[in-house]
Parts: sequence; structure tokens; C-alpha cells
Amino acid sequence: MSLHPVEPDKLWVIAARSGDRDAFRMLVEQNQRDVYTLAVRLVSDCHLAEDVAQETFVRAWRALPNFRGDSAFSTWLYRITVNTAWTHRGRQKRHRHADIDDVPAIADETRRHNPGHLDETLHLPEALGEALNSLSAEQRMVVVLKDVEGWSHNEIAELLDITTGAAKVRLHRARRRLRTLLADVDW
Amino acid sequence: MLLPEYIGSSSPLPESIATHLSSCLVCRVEADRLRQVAELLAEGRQSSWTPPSTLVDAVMARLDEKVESRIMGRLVVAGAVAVGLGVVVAVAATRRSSAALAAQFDS
Repeated sequence: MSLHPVEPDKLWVIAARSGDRDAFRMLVEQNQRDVYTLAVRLVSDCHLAEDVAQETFVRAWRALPNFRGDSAFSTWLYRITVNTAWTHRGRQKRHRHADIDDVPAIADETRRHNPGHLDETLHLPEALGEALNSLSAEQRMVVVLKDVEGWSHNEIAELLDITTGAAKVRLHRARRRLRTLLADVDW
Repeated sequence: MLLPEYIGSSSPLPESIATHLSSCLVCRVEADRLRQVAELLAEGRQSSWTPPSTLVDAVMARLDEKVESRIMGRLVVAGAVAVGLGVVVAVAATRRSSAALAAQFDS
């Protein structure tokens, strides 16, 4: 008879499900980097990403009794992160308005002269980052989920509670906007 | 106009698009640009961000807050129920004593 060692992650999940806080702490420590990284990609703001990561783990703790283990714990946590980022997108807009108020006047001047495009002297990697930041929260999330995280149209549609066709349309519009923003960039 | 959908895909381009690309320099340049964007986005998956060192403690503190507030909430409800019961008992006792007094006066 061969023994099937249970992964430590699963042991902690089992313990945490029964209310063991130390076990849950281990899960938080183990998954914090992945959750935070995904949050940064989705909301592109470090402070807001921290809020999203915290809220993700709090939601996970509350929902743990319902976690049946059909998927890996990390996959389940990923989905909660995306949902949390999605519900935080309103806050993101407020954050961004505050940020815009903070930038030097010269940046405003540049935007006024060239509102639909990025600084032509930027190279592609920086320009792409800027362009992603210029998208609306909804558009950026769709692009990140599809083109960075590799989600399917169906998964995105399920998250946004829209049809697959509508998800494709949103993605197409977001990509078209990216192309417009990147049109003048030096490659 | 070429859709980035085709460019990022691992499957071969549709024949009509491939044929057009082979004869159109403008679209070929555009396709290369889109391919670079798709590759950069996909590379983003490899990068990671270091979370603030306070994240774990902050999460655990929030869990404690939730428990405390739930306990406080239950205490408040229990207190309200106790006060309510007290009022009901007091009213009933007052009514009983009033009825007894009335009975004494009647007799």
C-alpha cells in the first residue's frame, strides 16, 4: 500500500476551515505575493492593491467553510482577488482623480495638448504600462485577465456577469483603445 | 484592420489574413507591433510584486476586529432582549398589582 502524503497547503486549508487562525495565517503568508501581484496588475495602484489583497484574505476567511476543494486553494483565492478588485473599481476612479490632482502642472499641459496619445519618446514597455493605466478600470481588467492572466472569454463573462459575446466586445474595444494610445510611440 | 486576437493566438493565421500580410508592408509592420504588445503583456505574468511587510498582520488584525464586532453585536442584541424582557415583566407586575389594588378597593 502506498501512502499519499497530503500537501502542507491542504493541511492548512483543512485546519483553517475548522477555525484555526494559525493555519490561516500560514495560508496568507504563503499566498500573499501572488494575491498582491495580481491585485497590482488589476488596479495598477500599490495602495489600492494592498486594500484589495487584505479584503481578499478577509473574504476568503469568511468563505472558507464553503470551499469544497474542487480547485486548488490558490485558484480559488485568485478568483476572490479578481472579484474584490472588480468591486473596488469605483474606489480606483476616486484614487485616480486624487492622483491627477497631485501631478505637476506640466503633465496636465502635456495631456491637454495630446489627450488621446502617450508621450512619443517613451519606448514600448514603459508606454504599454502608461497605456494600460490610461484605460478605464473595466477595460484594463479585461485586458489583464485575457492577455496577461490568460483567462478565457467565458471566465471573463462569468466574472462580469455578461454574455461571452459582450465580453469579447469589451475586450476588442479595450485593445483598440490600447492601439490608439500606442499609435505614436517609438518602438 | 487586423485584430490582435489573431496575433496573440498560437494557432495559424486565417488564410485570407496571411495572404494579405504577405503582400502588404503596412499591415505587416502593424502585425509586428501587435505581436510585440501581446508578447509584452504575456511576459507580465512572469513578474511579481513584493507585498508590504505589514500585510499578513493587517489581515489577521482585521479578522480579530470582525470577531470582536460580531461579539459586540451579539452582546448588544442580548442586552436589548434582556431590557425588553425586563420591561415586559415590569409592565406585567404593575398590571398585576394595579388589579390587586382595584380588587381591594372593590371589596
